[in-house]
Amino acid sequence: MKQRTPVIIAALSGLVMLAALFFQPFTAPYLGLALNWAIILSSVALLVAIASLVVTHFRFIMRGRKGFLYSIVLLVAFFGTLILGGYLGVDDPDFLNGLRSVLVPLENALMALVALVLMSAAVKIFRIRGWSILTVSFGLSALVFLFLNLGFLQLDSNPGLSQLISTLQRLPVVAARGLIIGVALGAMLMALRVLFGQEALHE
Amino acid sequence: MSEYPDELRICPHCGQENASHTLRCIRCDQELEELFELEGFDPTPASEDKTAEQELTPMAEILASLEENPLLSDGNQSESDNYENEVESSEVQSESDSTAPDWLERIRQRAKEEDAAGELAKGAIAMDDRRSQEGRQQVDDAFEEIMRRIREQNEREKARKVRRVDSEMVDENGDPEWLRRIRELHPEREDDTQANMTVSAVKIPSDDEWTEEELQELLLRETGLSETPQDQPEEITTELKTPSVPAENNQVVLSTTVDEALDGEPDQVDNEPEVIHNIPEDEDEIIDTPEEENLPPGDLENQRFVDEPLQIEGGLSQDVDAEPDEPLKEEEDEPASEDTGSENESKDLPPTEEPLSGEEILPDLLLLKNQRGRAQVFNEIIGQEGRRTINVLHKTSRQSAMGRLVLGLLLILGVLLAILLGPSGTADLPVSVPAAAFARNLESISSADSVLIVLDYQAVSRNDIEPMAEKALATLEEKGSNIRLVTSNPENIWLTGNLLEPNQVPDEFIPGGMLGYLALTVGESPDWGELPIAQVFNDDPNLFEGVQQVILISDSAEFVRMWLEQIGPWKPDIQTSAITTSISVPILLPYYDSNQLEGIVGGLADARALEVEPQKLVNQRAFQVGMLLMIVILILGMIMKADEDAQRRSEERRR
Repeated sequence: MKQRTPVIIAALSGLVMLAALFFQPFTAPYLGLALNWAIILSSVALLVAIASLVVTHFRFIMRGRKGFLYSIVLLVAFFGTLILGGYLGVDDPDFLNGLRSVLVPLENALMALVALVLMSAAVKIFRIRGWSILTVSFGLSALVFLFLNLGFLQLDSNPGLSQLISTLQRLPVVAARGLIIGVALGAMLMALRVLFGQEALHE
Repeated sequence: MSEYPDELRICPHCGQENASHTLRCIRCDQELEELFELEGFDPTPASEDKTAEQELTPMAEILASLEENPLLSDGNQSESDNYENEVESSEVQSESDSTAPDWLERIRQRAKEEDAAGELAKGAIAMDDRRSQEGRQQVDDAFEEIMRRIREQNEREKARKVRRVDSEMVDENGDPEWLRRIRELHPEREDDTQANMTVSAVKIPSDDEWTEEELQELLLRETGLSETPQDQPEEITTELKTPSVPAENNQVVLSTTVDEALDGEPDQVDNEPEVIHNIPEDEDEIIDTPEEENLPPGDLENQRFVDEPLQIEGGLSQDVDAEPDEPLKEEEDEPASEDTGSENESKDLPPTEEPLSGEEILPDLLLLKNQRGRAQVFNEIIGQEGRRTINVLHKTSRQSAMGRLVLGLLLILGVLLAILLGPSGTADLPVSVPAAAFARNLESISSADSVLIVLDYQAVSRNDIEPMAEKALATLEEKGSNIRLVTSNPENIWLTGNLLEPNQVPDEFIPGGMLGYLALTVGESPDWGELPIAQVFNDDPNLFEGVQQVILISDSAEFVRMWLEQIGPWKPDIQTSAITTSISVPILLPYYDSNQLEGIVGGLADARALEVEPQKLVNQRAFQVGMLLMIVILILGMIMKADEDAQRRSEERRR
């Protein structure tokens, strides 16, 4: 029974939501109430996660664990933002500019590192994975689309070539559609498994 | 001189002919006990009341048995020692009479006139002499053979124990690690095992108890009287491996027995326990021996089979090695923990004469065999703690780190040079159909329309999104449309200032992400009160009241997809379009083809559709240089791989 309880709750919740969707607008208040409960629960879970993060980094500092200086930076930034936001208000111009001046360069630097790692991976992928369908298709497609997006080709004067390039650029759409169809089918099957209690939610 | 077959002995059990020096039958492996026995020889002193004639008859039988005994059959025997042959063989005597001198004749005549006791004494002396010279040699040989077997068995037991110690899985009680885990997994099995151990604890001490005869034989052997006719080699084998604990427990009994046997030689008795342990032995051997001691020959073979490591499967031999010791180890510990009363109770129990056969041990082994798989899985799970679960494709070497550094420096240098040198450039790319559709939809929005703009992007993608979003917001403001800016991403609270006024913040913050949007879409405030989410709104909590257009500004195709699938069906009259990144455009194109999206603008490539000013875009030349570097490095990786393959093939050809 202990193991079946989460499954039963999940199945009942799904069935209620389905019923609420089908029996609109009679069930609209109940559906909104259930969704509000879900939002409150997720918000409380977020608070618990934040508290756990703070406690964990406090422990790192107390134990002098390797890299505890990063924990100090995290806690100082966290409590500084919390105190300043509470004192100045979230719509204060200085507070917003300060956050923006820190956040934007940090994330741009992160994206630059991602680009660097991708470059390194592009070099190593053939040495590590060897010649296979995956690596060859990846290399060729990357080369083609990188070159097409450079904007060096002026295709307005040649309608045939322009049509060819347009067709090539539509190829990712084909893959995207297949991906989306797969995701939709997977989500539907998972929902049905949960509704019929076939999915072990506790694992 | 012997009339019997040369050096052959017939096994009394199966009739197989064996060499005289063999201790066991080569066919049935039974002990040839007659080897050290003299037929008709009674070690007990003869009664003094018997008459000389009564003693002559057994004397003749003894002499006859000596004649038949192969131990004494030796071709070098002298005629003077074969007095009995003169009685039986007239030919030999006549022959000796004819050749003997006179003085010898007189001696013989006098000997005939002596009494029977004298003849008996002579016969006994002669017999003792033969036995002392030849029989002792064979007894010593047999003893050496037995000692060799004991040493070999000790070595086997030691080797087995070393394997167990090497596994480092034995606790203070001698329990292996895997067995303790199995017991933890199956406490009910533990109870059963304890019950079995209790039963065996009752059994085994009774098996270890010695009889007085065994103690006397042991004491006589240790005190130098081992040459008495009662000595039997197989008895030595078992008694020398007697466990130390039972020996200690039986010391009181042993002392009384010694006093009775030796009539006042306590000094030898005091040293006896030390002599018992003269042969190197370990605890396992000590414990196993009493079982073998009491086993009949058939069960003794089964016990040896159990003691031998089974070679059925890889891990089974260790299990089998450890398991027979388990209850016995517990038995050693239990008397120490129990009080004296329990010990007395166990001693008072009637001794169980039934030996511990192989069938009693094998069921335990079968149970462990069934549980062995689970124990191995459990052991593997524990063994994986702290280990890497995903194999590392390659280790980062110093050369790899240097190569990555060079690549990074090359990329930075190329982008810097492109930024610093020359104009920024423009991307003269063709306008895509979804982007053109977005532009047309934006132009179709009138001043009376209410537009809901949903922000959900990160700071990292702001250069790919914000130019188009800023242009779209400016266009709507020029038209005088009613704009409502909302977000559920806290990061967009301070990024909104890049779009409109520097101090601009979203009009509403929607808690709960997509759940919040869904609650505001499908939920209605009930008659009995207000929903909690309504309290976060400064204005009208009805988010979609009077909205004709929704523009999603997001760098996540997932967010746009969720909106279209979860929110869109509830508001079919609202037209939705998206400003996103170039990466997300291919994923969202199917929704444009299905008319769920009015238009998509993605990345700098579509900036031309909205006529975004070039100065608001990133440096196109730096962008192109970076892309070119990417292409070059990708081709370089292919070339390096091809070069490695070519070198490897050439080396293989050389070989």
